[in-house]
Amino acid sequence: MSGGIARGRLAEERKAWRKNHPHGFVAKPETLPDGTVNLMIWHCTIPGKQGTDWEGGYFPLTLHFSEDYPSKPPKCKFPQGFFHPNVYPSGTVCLSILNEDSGWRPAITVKQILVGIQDLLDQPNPADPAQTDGYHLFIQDPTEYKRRVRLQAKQYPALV
Amino acid sequence: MATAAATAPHPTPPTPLQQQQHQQDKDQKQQKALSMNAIRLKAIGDRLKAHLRGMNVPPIAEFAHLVYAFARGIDFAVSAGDIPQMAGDIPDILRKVYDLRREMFIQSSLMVLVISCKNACSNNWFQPADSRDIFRMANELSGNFCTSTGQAASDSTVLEIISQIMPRYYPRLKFERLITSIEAKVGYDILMADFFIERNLSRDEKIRLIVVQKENLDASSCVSSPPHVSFLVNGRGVDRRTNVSMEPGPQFPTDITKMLKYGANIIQAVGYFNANYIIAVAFVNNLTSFSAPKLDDYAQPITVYPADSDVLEGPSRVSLNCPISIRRIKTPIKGRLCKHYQCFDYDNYMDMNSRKPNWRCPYCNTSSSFTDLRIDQKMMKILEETGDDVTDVLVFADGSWKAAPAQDEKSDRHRGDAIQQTGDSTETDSPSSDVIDLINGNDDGDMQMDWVSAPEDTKPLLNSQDLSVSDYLTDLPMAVQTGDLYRGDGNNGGSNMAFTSRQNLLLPPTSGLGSSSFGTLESILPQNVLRPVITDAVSPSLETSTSTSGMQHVSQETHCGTVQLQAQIGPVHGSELRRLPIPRNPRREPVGVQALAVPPQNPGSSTRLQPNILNCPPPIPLSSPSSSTYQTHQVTNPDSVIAPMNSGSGPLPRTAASLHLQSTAREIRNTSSHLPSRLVGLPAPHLMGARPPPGISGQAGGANAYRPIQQTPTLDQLRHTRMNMNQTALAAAAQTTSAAHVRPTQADIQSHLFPTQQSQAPRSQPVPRAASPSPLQRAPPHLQPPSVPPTVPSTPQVGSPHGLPPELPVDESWRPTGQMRGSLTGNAYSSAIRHYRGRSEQQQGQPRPPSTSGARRPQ
Repeated sequence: MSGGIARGRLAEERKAWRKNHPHGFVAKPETLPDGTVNLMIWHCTIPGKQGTDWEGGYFPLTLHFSEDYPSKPPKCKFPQGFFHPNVYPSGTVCLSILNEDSGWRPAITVKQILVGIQDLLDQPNPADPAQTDGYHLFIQDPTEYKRRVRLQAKQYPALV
Repeated sequence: MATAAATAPHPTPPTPLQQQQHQQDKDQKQQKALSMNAIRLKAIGDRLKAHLRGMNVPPIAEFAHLVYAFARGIDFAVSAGDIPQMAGDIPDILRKVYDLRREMFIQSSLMVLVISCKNACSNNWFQPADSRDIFRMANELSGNFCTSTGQAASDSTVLEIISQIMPRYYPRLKFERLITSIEAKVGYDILMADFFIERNLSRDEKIRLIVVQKENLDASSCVSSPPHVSFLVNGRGVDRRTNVSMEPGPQFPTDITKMLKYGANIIQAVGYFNANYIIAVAFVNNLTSFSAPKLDDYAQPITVYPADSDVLEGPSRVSLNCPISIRRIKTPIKGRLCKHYQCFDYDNYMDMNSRKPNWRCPYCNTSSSFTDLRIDQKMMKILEETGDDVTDVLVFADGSWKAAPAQDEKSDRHRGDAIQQTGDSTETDSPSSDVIDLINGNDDGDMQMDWVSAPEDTKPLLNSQDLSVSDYLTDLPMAVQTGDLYRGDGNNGGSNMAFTSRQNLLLPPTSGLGSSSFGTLESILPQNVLRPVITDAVSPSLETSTSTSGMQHVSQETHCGTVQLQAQIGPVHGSELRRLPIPRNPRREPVGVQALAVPPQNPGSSTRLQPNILNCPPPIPLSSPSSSTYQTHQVTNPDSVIAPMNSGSGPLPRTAASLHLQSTAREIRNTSSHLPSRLVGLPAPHLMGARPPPGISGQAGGANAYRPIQQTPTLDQLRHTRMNMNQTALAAAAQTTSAAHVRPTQADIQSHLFPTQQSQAPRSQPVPRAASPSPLQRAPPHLQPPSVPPTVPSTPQVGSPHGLPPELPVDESWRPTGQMRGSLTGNAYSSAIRHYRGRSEQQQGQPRPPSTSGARRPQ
C-alpha cells in the first residue's frame, strides 16, 4: 500500500548507495540499539570539497525522512549551530532542492541530496540566509568567515 | 444499535423477523425519546416564557443556558422529523428572546436558537409569516458573527468546480451531493454557513469539507487550504485546516463526518483569503472499486528542441526504474505535458498521490493530474524487450534505442558536476536520475525566499531587505549575539533569532532607548527574575561570539527588547477590548479562533478545556483551569440540562463559544484593517516563565470588564486561567461595549504599547504576580508542534522604518507589499515616534498603569 512507498524507496536508495557512492561520503540508515535498522533516519557524512576551505572536514548530517517521502523531501540537519549562511541555527539545511515547494522532486536521490549539500558548503547562497552569524561574516568579513570555516573543518576530522 | 446482532450467540445474520423486531425496538425507543423531548421542550419553553414575562429574571447565564437547551430540543425534534405540540409557541418565545439580543451573553445562544428554528421552518413547524420572521432574524443576527453572511455560492458554480477537480485530483473519491457551500473572496473574512444533517443518514456516508481555489483549477495547488484561514466545524478546528495545524500543499477533502451532529451544524471560515475560494460541505465517498481507466497514449511533443537551439541532439539516457520507487517501472506513464523521455510507474504515482494529492511529475514537477496521465507505449515496448538487468537505455533522437552500459561512479559524479555548470550539454536532457541541476534550477533568490523547511526554521532576514538589514545589524553588536541567545534551546534557535533580530530593527540605533528600557525592566523586575535568565541565555554565545565586549549589556538590551515586544503584544491582544486602530499585517491569522473553538465531547467544567490544550499546547503546564472566568463560560453549556436527549450529537455550545469569538473578531476587523488574532501566538514561551509580561495589563482589563456579569475574579485566579478563556472574556467584554464606545485614543494605545509605562503596574500589583507567566503570553503557538516556541512574534512594528514583515512558514505565496511594511501610519506612527523620543521623560511622569485604564474603559 501507499504507506510502503517511503520504506520501499529507502530500501532501494540504500541498495543503490551500497553499490556505488561518491568518494568520502557516508550514508547509512540508523541502527537501533536492538540491531534493527530504521530506514527513516540516515546518518551521513559529507566531506568538505578539496581545494576549498571546507577541505578536511567530514561533516555529520542526518536525514529525516517522513512517511510522505518521496512526496516530501527529507529534512537534512547538520549539528545544531553549524556555521554556514544557509543552515538554520537548528542545523537544518536550507537548499532549494530540499524545499517541497520549489526544487524538490521525488526523483532526487539521496546521493544527489548529499552531493548538492556538499556543493552548497562552499557556495553559499547569500540571497537566502538562514542564520545571521554565518551570513553576516560571509557578507561583511570574508577573512573572518574563511577562518571560521577552516576552524569548523578542523572540528570535524575524519572519523577513521 | 445493533444489539440484536451483537447479542446473537451464533454468527448467522439476523433473520428478517429479528430485523423487524429490531426495527420495532428502535422505533419504540425513538418514539419514547421524542415524547420525552416534547415534554422537555414544553417545560423549557414555559420557563423561558416565565422569565421573559419579567418575573424573577434569572442570572443571565442561566437564561442563556435555557436558550441553548431549548435550541437543542428543537434540533432533536427536527432531526427526527417530529413536530412537537408546542411548536406554535416557539416563534413568540424566539421573538421575545430576540428582543434581548443586545445582551452579549444571550447573543450566541440566540444565534443557535435561531438556526434551530430556521431548520424547523423548513419542516413546516410554523406559520409562513412566522417563518419569514425567523429568517429575517437569522439574517440579522448572523451579521453579528460573520463579515458577510457566508454568501451561499451559487450551487451551479460550486458543482461545476467540483466536477472539474474530482476526476483530476481525487479520482478515488466520488462526489455524491452538495450540502452547503460558501464562496470566499480575496481578503480578510469571517464566513459562516449552517446546514442540517438528517437523522436518517447512512453510516457509510462520508461528509467532507472541500476547499478549492476558484482560479487555476489546472494545478493541484488549487486544492491547497488557504494558508491563513482557519476552518471550524461546530466550533472545532478542522484538522490540517486551522492555523495551528495547517498542512501546506494540496489537500484531500477533509472527512468531517465525526465532527457533525444530527440537526443544525455550523461551518466557519475565518482569516485572510489569498484568493477566491469555494468552500463546500458535501457527501463524498470513497470509490469502493477503483479500476484504472484506460489511459491514452503519450505523444511526444513534436519539437523537443527548437530548430535554432544550440542544444546538440544526442542519445538520452533513460532509466527504466521509476523515479518514485527506484524499482523497475511496470506501467510506464508520464504527464501529458512532460517533455522528457523518463517515465514513472502508474501504481507508484497513484499511491503517492493518494497520500498527498500533489499530482506533479516526480521527474520534472510539471503538473500532471490524473486526467493528464498518459501511457508511453514506446517505453512499454522497451520494458518488454529488455531484461531486468538493464536499468538504463539510450534513446536516440530518431527514436531508436539501445541498452545503456552500466554507469560507474566516476562518470556519474563527473557528469553531475559538468552539468551543473554547462546547461547546454547534450546530457542535460538526459533523464539519468543522477543528473540534477543544483545551481541553475529553481533556486534563484526569489524562489528561495519561499523556502521553509520546518516551522521552527525561520529566516532571520528577508531577501529584499538584505542590505539594509545587514547594515543595520552591524551597528548593533547584539545582532551577532542574538543568533546565539537561545542556541542552547534546540529547535527554536531560528525563530528566536528572527524574533530578536527583527526586534533589533525596531530599536533606534542609539543606545538611549535600550538603556531606558533596560532601566524600566530593572525597575519592574526582581533581580532574581531578571538575572538568571540573562546569564543563562547568553552563556552559549560566549563560546562562539566574536565580539565579546559589552556583551552582557548587549544581551540584556536584547532581552529588554524581547520584553518590550511582549509588552507590545500584550496590549495588542487586549485590543479585543480596546480595538487598536493600528492596521496590521494581514498575515497574522486568527489563532484565537482556534483557541476559542470550545470543543469536545465531554463538556464537563474542567474537561472542556482539554481539547484546547491539545489544539494549542501551552508551553507551560497549566495550573487549575477552574477560575471564575472559566466558570462564567460554563454557563453556555446546557448539557447538564439536556443530557438525556443528547444521544449521538455533540454539545451545541461549542458552536456558541466560537460564535462569541467570531462576533468579536468581526468587530475588531471593523476597526483595525486586517486583524489577526495570531497576534496572540507570540513570544517564545520558554521565556515566559521568568519574565513578567507587562502585557498582563490587558488581562486585567478583561477581568474588570467582566465584573458586571460575574463575581470578580481575583487576579490570582486570572493568572491561572487559560489564555483562550481570557480571550473569551475579552471577547465577551468587547461585545458588551460597542466599538465606537471603546475606541481608544492615541495616548491609550501608547500607554499599552510601551513597557516604560508599565513600570507602575507592579506597584499596584504584587510582584509575584508580575513574575508569573501570563496566560496571555501562553498563546497558542502558531503552527507549531507543541514543544517548539512560536516562530515569529507578532510585532506591531511600531515606528520601525525597517519593519519587515516576518517571513512565516505558513506563507508560501504571500509577498509583502510596500503598504504593510510599517504597520503604523499617519497619526499613530508619528505619535509612536514621539513616544519613543519622549520615553525617558515619561519615565519620570509615571503615567497611569495600563491595567487601570484598561479596566475602566469598558464601563
